[in-house]
Amino acid sequence: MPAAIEDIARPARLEKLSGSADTWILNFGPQHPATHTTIHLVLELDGERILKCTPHIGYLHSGFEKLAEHHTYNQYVTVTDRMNYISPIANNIAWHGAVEKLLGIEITKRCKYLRTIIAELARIQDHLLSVGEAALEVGAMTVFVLLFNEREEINDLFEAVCGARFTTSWSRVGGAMADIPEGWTNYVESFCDKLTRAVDDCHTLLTRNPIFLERTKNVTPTTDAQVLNWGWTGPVARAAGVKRDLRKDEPYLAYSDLDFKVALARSGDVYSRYLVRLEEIEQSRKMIEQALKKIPPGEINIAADPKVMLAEKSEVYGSIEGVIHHFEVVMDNRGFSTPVSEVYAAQETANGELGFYIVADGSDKAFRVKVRSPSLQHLQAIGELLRGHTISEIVVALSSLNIIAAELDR
Amino acid sequence: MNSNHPTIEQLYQKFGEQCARSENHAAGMQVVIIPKSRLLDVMRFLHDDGACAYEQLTDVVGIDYLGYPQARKRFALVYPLISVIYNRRLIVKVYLAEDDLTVPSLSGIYRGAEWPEREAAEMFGFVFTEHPDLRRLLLCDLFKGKHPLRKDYPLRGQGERDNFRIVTRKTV
Repeated sequence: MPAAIEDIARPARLEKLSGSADTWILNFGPQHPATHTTIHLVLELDGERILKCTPHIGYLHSGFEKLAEHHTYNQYVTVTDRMNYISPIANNIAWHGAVEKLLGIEITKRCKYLRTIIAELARIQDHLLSVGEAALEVGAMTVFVLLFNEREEINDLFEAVCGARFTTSWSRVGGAMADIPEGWTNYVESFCDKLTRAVDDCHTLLTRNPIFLERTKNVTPTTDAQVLNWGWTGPVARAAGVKRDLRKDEPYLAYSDLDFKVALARSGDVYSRYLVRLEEIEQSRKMIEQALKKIPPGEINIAADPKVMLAEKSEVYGSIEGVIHHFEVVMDNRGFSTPVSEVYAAQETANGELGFYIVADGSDKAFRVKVRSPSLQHLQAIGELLRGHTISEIVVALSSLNIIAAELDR
Repeated sequence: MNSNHPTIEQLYQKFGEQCARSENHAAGMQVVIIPKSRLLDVMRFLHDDGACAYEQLTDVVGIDYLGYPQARKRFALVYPLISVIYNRRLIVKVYLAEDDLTVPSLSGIYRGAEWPEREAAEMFGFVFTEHPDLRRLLLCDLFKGKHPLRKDYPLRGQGERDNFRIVTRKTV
């Protein structure tokens, strides 16, 4: 019964020290099916106990930050898709949020609401995978499939908005590439109903399941002081009791108009991360339902006047002014101008604080972009987290941190 | 100097003229420029002092200002900080000249600085003194001694792509 689980002492006593004579070394990854990403852990083991874990990353390094210096602010959105490939559209929104802060643009109210709804859908999409994965690692295949169904629905919703399920590239400086199609809000509403059922099923299958509890409770426990010092943000920090959510603390987009609670847990172990994520799905659903009722009418894009917004495609193909407008924005030697200035802007994405530090030199390309990706901060603690745990707990811990190799390796 | 940010006031009182406010930022950002020699003192103060309480280092941002209009020095390091208790942000910036890229590591104060500093070190060539483990983080051995995010490093690399060892069944 669950009560007995508390008695299992974890992390277990280490009987040997790293470097003892009869320990053995195991390479875990970089291509291991259970890590889901390309992470390489070098483990020093005493039997099945981990004495030392040295992570190696960089297998998916693709030079995002260098690419940013060679793409215009609108083009770079395609690269942000590839950062967190579990919820790409949230990265789009965070990137253009930063660019708009740099340019001092206030987007339209309709756009704020749509971006909020879509960012929350992306959060649900991310958490569904993360929770499903946590279940899959301990053998609960049903939950994974169950939640993946809902993820597919979200992909369909995104496809209806921007034509792509995965590489969305939806946002633009000052707005978005397209408004929502007619009837889209009805689909989102019916999705929200279905989602409630899926989350309930998930609770039924996992939350009080003795096997799941035994595999996740007290695995990699963390304290609030620890996670703050490590630089953790997002659900993994909130699972350790850090009350920090940028949607509440630094409200952006339409979050100040919405009523929601910040999910918190205390013990900071894998189980509390799971609970926090499930609660965040629930809160996001409530936010979406509120926001759907409030979507203001009007334009999604800001007026063409500051010449940062691309012209409507129908204008470009239908009128000479439209062509000129498009030309002025996209041509290399024209483009829009930016202040010679620097900005740091962050948004609360599913994994934590996704921030962009942009150095602008006046042209329409960034001089330097630094991506503050949550996964890097989370994974750097893995060596310390896993000490004293067993091999079977590695995958559970990794999936609870929701490490995304693309944003980890930039 | 007037400022609405309580921490910056405190920094002025404690470190005086050595702290300068930077104006070259988007609205709402609070940035202080400090000399490299006071970096550890300032960070220790910001972390430990009860009225500052910056518990979290968000990131370590390396910047190469080669060819930038109004550049002060070639390099800079930017440390965005968060105080969760007071819900405040502060950005600390240090300028570095090209001939001296050694900086004290902050990993003794913020453990979260470890990997971002390793990244900045390999990408720009900064040397973080007293860092527990300054191995390269992301790049493979072909990039030894090269610093890809510097402005004078070409986008398409310096032929590293062509020099990858091709592994065939025979070589294995």
